[in-house]
Formats: sequence, C-alpha cells, structure tokens
Amino acid sequence: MLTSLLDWFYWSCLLATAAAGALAWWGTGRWWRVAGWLVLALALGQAVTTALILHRPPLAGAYESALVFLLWLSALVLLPCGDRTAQRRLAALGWWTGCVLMALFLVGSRRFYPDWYMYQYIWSRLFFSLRMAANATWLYAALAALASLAVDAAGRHCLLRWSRNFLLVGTAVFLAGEFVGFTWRMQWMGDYWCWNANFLEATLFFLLVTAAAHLPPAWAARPRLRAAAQAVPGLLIVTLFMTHMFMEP
Amino acid sequence: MQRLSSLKFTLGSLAGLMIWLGLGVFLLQPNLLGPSFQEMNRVLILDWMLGSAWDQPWAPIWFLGLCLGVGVMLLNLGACTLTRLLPRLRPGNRLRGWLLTLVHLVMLVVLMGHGAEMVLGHKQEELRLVPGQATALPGGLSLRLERVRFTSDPSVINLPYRRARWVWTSSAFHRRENWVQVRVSREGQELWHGKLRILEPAKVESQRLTLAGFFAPSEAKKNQVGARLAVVYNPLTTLFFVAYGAWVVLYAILAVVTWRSGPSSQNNGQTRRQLG
Repeated sequence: MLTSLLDWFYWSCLLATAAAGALAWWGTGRWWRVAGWLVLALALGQAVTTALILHRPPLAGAYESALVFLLWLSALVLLPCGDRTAQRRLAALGWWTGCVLMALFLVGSRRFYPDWYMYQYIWSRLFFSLRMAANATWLYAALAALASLAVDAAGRHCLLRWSRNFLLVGTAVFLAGEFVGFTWRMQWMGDYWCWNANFLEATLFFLLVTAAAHLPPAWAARPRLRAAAQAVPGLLIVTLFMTHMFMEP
Repeated sequence: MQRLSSLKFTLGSLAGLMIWLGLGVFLLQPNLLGPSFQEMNRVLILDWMLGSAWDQPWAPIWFLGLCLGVGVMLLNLGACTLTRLLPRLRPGNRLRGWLLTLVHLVMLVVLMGHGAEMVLGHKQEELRLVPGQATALPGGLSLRLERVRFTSDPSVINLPYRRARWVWTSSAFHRRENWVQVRVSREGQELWHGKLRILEPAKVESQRLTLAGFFAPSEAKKNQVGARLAVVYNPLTTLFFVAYGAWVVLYAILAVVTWRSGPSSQNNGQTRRQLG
C-alpha cells in the first residue's frame, strides 16, 4: 500500500516539477505559484511516505538524498526574493533541477538504504539531515546565481545577493552538521577526526564555498564571473554527493 | 604584507589546498595509500610521524604538503585580519564588521584545536583485545578486557564498514544488549571496573574509553569475539568543541546580519553603474 503510494508520489513529482518549471519560465499569470505549492505538497508526500516505510527520516543513499533535495528546493523556491521576473526564473530552475534529480531514477535504482542500527542514534540522524539541508541550500544558491544570467540588471543584482545570502546560510547549516558529526564520531570511535575520504571531501566542500565568498572586488564587479563563482560550489558539491551515493555498494 | 593579505592570495591558497585535498581523496583508495591512512588514524599524528609513517613515505609527504598549505592559508588569514579586518573595527562600527573579524579569529582557534589534536595527549584507536587480554596505557594504567557479551549473529562480525551497514540493522544488532566488561588498574589497584557499550564511552582519570565495535580474531572460530576499543585523551577537546560551537553560532548570526544589511556598498555602486 505505502510502496504503491510512494510510486504514485514519485511519478507525480517527476511530472509536476517539469510542468511547474515550464509554467514559471514561459507561462503568464500566477498559475506557476499554484503549481509550486502543488510540487511542494507532492515532495512532502514523497518524503513522509518514505519515512513511514522506513520508520525513520530519509537520511542517506541516492534516492533518499534526491527526494530530500527536492523537498528543500520546492520550499526554498517559494520564498520571495524581491523581484518578480527573477523569482520566476529561479523557481523554474529549481523545479527543473528537482525534475532532473527525480529523472535519475528512471535509470538508477530507487532502493532504500538498510535500517543500519546507527540510524536510530540522534546524533547520526542530525548529522545526515543537516548535511543534506546544507547541500540543498548551496544548490539553491547556485541556481539563484545561474538564474541571474537570464534577467535584467536589477534582477541580476537581486539574485546575486540572494545567492550570496544562501551560500552563507548553507555554510552555517553545514558547520552545524560538522559539529554534530564530530560529536557522533567521538562517541563512536573515540576521536572526533578521521583521515578518510568523507572528512577530506567535507573540508574540500567548505573551502570551495569559502573561495566563492572571497572574490577580489574587481572580479566580484563582473556579474558573469561572480555568478559562475557562486554557482560552481553548489553544483559541484551536489554532483559529487550524488555520484558518491550512486557508487555506494 | 599587502600581497599576503590580498584576496587573490586567499583564492590561490584555497585553490592549492583544494587540489591537495582532492589528491588525498584519490590516494585514500585501498590499493594506493589506504592502509597508511588507516594507520594514521590509529595513533596521534605526532607518534605516527615519528614512527611507522615512513614505511610508506608518500602518506607523510602528502600530510606535510597539507600542513604547508594550511600554513600558507593561516599566513593569509593572519595578514588579512591585521591589515583589513582589525583596522576597520571602531566603537559604533557596524555589527557585520565585528562578526567577520570574529568568524576569522574563531576559525584560527578551531584550526589550532585540530593541530593540538594531532600532537597533544594520547590516542589508540583500533585497539583489539580478546577476553583475558590486557594492555598498558600511559600514566602506569593497565586496561584488561574481562568479558565480551555478543548476542547477535557472529558470522558477519568481520565485515568492512560499507558492507556491515547492510547487515548490522537495528533488528539484527541490538546495541544495548552487546557489551564488554573492562577493568582499569594501576599497579594492581583497581581504578574502574564496568561495562562499555557502543556509543556509551567511559572516562577513567583523563582517558576516554570507547567501544568502537567487535571482531572475530579468527575466521575459523567466529564464535570467539573480541572488542575493538579506543583510548583517547586530548587536553584541548573541550576547547575545540566550544570554539567550533561558537563558530557555528557566529556564522549563523553573520548570515542573518548579512541578509538584513542588504547589498554591500561596493555592489551598490556596481548596480547603480549597471542601472545608470
């Protein structure tokens, strides 16, 4: 019953994100916002159904991560950024990205991760949830930067500022996740740090976002360069993250 | 000093560090330097560098390169704080300026905490003992594993982490029902005696005793189960966590203040030029 319901939510999310994106980019009137609320409801339904099947929140693995990213994106794109055209471009990119994330599972397996005993532990749940929230926020910041290339000067300024703000918010969430992860690792293994690929990748992610926030003034004054600098971290991080998830045995 | 504190220098040092970390991720593969990195996790970095590290020199060379990269970044961070951030701070100055300075200074403390974790105190991870076995700890302490209670299926006990995650489910492995009993003594006098469970460490004097997992000493006799223990002491762990917590809070406040403050003056000018 729940599995069939999840199937229904998956296909609905796939179609609704594509349609909402098209409405926001090409449509007229306010129907795109209605479509946006529908996408949010469907993404929430998909996440809640998954949680009911697993008896825990979606935490790790390709499909669980993708549906959490979609949920965060669906909520974030509804926030008003202050410029109507800019908002529509950003919303369209957000929904199309959600559509691409869902479309990955037309080929990839929608298997869930096992109910590893560690997932019952509050620090591990918090760590995975905060890591996914940070990645989704950085992805949203990247989309705002990309959308700035498709609007006029006022909209561009609005979106680049919006993107910078969300890079900072994502970093705060990411660091909170790292704090929680250190605590978890110390309780489990004795020390809070470990020289492995996950820890090095996490440090790399932080440096990547830090670099985007330290552009020399002459470079930051060039909108295309600034947009690229603010778009690269989120896109690269989520691509690496999803690749990592798909390559899990 | 101006060059050292420039943003181009910042970007250069960050790019160098990112490339080096990416190289580290590649080198960590099991058929490359994976085993050396595992050894690196077992003891204090200082002990590792003075001991077994040089059996496979590429791992310590990578680590020294990383230290060099962090050193260059710290140089830039220090110069930037002295020449750009601190001179702007005056009473009545904007909150954002203070926050930016504090975020940079607390990051320095966090990095110092990481450095201290590598050289101070004591660390033994993956300490494998079977019941009846004892090992010596610093300060004349002795740790003896007295008993192991493992109620779950021992046939899957030696699986590597990624495979184990699929098998050690919450229904197949009951964390609280599996424990080990240890005794810590000094010169025959008992200091602590009790049970350790996964995620429930104990502190004896300054040493933190942790049960990381179980293992079967022999593939043939999987019913005999030993314990994977960690004994760690770092005098600055609390300081590190306090600094890291403060860093998170400062970042969050900086995000809120940046949001409320709107565009920076430089960007304002840029927009006016574009709109004009």
